[in-house]
Amino acid sequence: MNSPVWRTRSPSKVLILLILFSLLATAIAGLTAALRGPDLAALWFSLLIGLLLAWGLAYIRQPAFRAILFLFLVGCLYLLLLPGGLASKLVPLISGAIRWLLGLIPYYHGGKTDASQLASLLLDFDNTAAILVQRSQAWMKALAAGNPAFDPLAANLVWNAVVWIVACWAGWMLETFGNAFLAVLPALLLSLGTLSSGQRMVPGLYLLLGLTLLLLGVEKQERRQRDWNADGSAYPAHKGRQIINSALLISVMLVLLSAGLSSLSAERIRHWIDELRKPVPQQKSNLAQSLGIVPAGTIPPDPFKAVRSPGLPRDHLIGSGPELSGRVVMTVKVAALPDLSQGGQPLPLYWRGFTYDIYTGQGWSSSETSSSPVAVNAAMEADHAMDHLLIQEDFSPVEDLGGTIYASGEPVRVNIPSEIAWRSPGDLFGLQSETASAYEVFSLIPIVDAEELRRAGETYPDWVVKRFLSLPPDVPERVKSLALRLTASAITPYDRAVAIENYLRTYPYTLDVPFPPPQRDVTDYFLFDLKKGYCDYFATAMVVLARASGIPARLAIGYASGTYNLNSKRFIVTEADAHSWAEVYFPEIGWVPVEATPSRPVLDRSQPFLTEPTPVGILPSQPSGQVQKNGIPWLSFPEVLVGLLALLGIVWLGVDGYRLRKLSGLAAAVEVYRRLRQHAYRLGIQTEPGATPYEFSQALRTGLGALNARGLQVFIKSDLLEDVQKLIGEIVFASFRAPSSSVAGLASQWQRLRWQLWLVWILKIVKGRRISGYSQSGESVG
Amino acid sequence: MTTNQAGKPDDLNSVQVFADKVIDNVEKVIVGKRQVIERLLIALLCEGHVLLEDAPGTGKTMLARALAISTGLEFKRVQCTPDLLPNDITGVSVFNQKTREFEFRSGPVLSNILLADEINRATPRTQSALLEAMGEGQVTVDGVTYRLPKPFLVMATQNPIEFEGTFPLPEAQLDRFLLRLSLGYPAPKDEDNMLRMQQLAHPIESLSEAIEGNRIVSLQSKVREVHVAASVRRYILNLVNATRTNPALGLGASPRGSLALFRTAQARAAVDGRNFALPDDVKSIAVACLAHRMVVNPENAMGGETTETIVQELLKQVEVPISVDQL
Repeated sequence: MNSPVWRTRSPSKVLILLILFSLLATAIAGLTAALRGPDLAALWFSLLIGLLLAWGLAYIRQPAFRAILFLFLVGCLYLLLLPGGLASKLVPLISGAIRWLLGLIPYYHGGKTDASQLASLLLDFDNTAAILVQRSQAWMKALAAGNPAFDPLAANLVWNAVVWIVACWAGWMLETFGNAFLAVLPALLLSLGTLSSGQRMVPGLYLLLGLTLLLLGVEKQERRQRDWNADGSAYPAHKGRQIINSALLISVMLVLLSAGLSSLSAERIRHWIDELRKPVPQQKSNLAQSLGIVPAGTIPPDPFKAVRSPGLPRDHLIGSGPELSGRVVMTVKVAALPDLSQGGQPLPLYWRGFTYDIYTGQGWSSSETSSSPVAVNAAMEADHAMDHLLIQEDFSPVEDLGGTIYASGEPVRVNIPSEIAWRSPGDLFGLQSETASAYEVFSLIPIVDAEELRRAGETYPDWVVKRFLSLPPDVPERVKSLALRLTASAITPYDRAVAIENYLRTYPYTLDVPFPPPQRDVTDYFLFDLKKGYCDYFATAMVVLARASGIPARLAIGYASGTYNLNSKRFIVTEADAHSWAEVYFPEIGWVPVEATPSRPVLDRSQPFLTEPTPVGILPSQPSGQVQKNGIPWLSFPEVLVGLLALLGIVWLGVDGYRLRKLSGLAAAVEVYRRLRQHAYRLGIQTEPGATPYEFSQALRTGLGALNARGLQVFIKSDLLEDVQKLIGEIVFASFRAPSSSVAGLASQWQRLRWQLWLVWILKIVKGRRISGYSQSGESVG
Repeated sequence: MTTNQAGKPDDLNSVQVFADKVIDNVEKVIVGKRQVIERLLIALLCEGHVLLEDAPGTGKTMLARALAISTGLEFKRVQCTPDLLPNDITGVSVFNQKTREFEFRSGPVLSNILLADEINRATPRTQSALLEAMGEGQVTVDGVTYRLPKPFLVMATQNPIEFEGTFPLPEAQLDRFLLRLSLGYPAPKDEDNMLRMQQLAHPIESLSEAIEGNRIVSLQSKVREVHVAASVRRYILNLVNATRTNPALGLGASPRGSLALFRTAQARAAVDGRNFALPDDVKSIAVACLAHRMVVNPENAMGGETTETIVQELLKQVEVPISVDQL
């Protein structure tokens, strides 16, 4: 290696980094346009950190494998702390720890933390980390099993990791190889990839093109200038600036040209990519789904506008007075219910009319449905696999309900002729009948408790992923990040849903709300401006937040169970019980209602549904952190400690390598020789005290060979040892001043050798008994 | 930049070439004694002299002759006996009847390579005359000083077995020899080889000059340029100091011993093709360089200890000082 250890800093290096950063930032901005989930600012921050770190490592000439290891570990830590949201738990932990330490000082009277508080903070941090890792693991497992699930937290982590890798690559490549094109290649590929899935990139593409050209030009100039410097050639200082200016001019011209010329237009490129990607396998789109890439144009126009007016389903309730409330709409008698008279409270059954899957931002609609007549008592398809309770509901409408057939759970049989509308088999939209008479419905209610729901997993069928996880692209970022924040500390979809539910139940309930402003996202308006509302708002927000955190959910409208009349054993359903609520899908279980409206009682799922009803009114609200105690903390404190130690070790290795390089030749050689002798001592390779370095390295080699012969499969390259020995000899004995190249050579050779020596040592300990007879093989050969 | 090119500038490289050529040539006659030949050359390159201690018939004379022929140097031999006079070595002024003047008849000392056979049989007076010539590089006969030719190498032999009628060299005289070497008996294979080679004619008859002798002086000055790092110098001093403090030794090595170690290490590095000396150079030559300069205490000598074994033991004990603060 002829290159000097330190290069001279030139101002254009900063310029190049700036251009590189803006180029990558543009690419990432294009990426976020096609993504849901990751926050642009967070990605930019990841980019900045990764780029600077990798560039810095390359700048101080770290060996590649160590830089990769370091960047990997720091990347993991960074991903866990910032995008993973662990930092918010770490800060109180650290401050708690500091205050606890301060409390140990006898005469300190400031704020103290006692040990139990500290322990709970630690536990909290540990739990959060464990959950984070567990969710990522589950996501990766699902991905590996070919059954990708969209988990926004995991997608966020993955995209941040991708950005991190791209940034590290760019920084490293730019400084190590001085090749700008190689550095930006992954970023360009990434933007080509996003270009192929989303179409909102065209202006960004021009910027990207221009920046790439500019970067290539400036980088080339910088390299040439460096060469001139190295040659010692004289050149006019203003020449560099001129060249950079012309590079800028040329790139702007080229970009303008490409924008103007149709043959070179970005649309053409996009079109070409579209052509290329036509035969996309299903697996790939699943993958894209799981990474949160929004496929372009999956939201078709609603052909059923006549049936379902857009907007919130119960707009008519806004501003309505209490006079509506008392009117009885229907009465329902439920057979197969256990005796409810003991509790005296109605079970949280819901009489569902319709379900919606498409959130428009202003309201709800359904995907295209197909309808078919259903004969009397004909069995209907229902999506279920686990134990369900078959119940018989006897509906007696009092008001005209427009022929809608209500049912709790999944209807399987109706005793009047009806028409069923579904989006796909098993995905029921609603049931209609011509007659407005009384009817009987058999339906299935899942018998599950919270534990089963937690165990349900995230293996969703395709139709669920397709319809019940999608959100319109213009859902504001703060809604999504709120969803992430609420669900960051929950592992299972059930716990996430409960976390959102509990959060929403803190908003006050009122019917007295204004109409949402036009063009305003209803959820955003409700969550951040209105901060109160009625069931539509709560249910809508529940579904949107659930979907944003990767839980398939739909909006259901119908009636709440009403008042249970003990004498007639019937539910009396009034206009006031008209309700909309969210339903969450669990694999193999089906749709389970979630009650986000605070005026309605909390659904108790602590015991299997329906087997032993508990009075609802006196139930304590569910603590949100309940799962965390039951969940297995995958990432325990010792492991975190080990990880931190490993990180410290890596940092130390980096510092050590840097120090070795910066030492004077003699000092470096003396240090390396000392360490070699230490290693030999550790390995039990004995040399005489009077052994010369050459004899010592001979003995070391023989000793290692003997270890090898005794069953330790050690493969230390003997020429590596020889090189190190030769370099030491050269530096210590040869000349008055060792050239920096041989010092750098010694440092890097030593770094390569060191791992192998440590490995031999560990192997020797592991297989210690087998070679215990060994003692004298390291005798000097002088 | 590779070290091979930097470490061996042409001049030093020629030392190695020279050594290789000469050793190869001498080996045609003296089979299997490469190390001794190399050390002999080292002494030649260091402008030193050699004491060969060997049983009779091991090829001491042949070694000296072969070296002389290979290097093209003038070779003289003097058999030391008790009746040998100093003038028999230095030369003598003879009155020329024709010119009516004294003219100098040079003795065997005025040559390049002088083999003084069984030096311990000469009287101390003769011995000291020879040793003075070795030390001073000149002889004075009848008030006229004659400079000895350069290079000048004395190979004195001693028979370690017979001591009857000998005058053992005093320590002060022994100190003047740079190295004490011993050829020893050849290995059976080498001896067999020798027998075959000498069946028809002695190989020395056909030995030819391998290198011009006049180049040796310039090579000698090249050897002095070999770099000796501070840690190697310190190693030499530590070794020498260890001989002085060793309880088994009545007399340790003199400063001349340190200097000899220094020079021979340089020469060995040069012969090895290096422009820097290693501790290994010092180590390999230390016994030959130091052992004859020391005296073992009688009680230790009774226990079988010799100066050789003591030096060897010291070499195992004295550490090579490798540290940043060297001296």
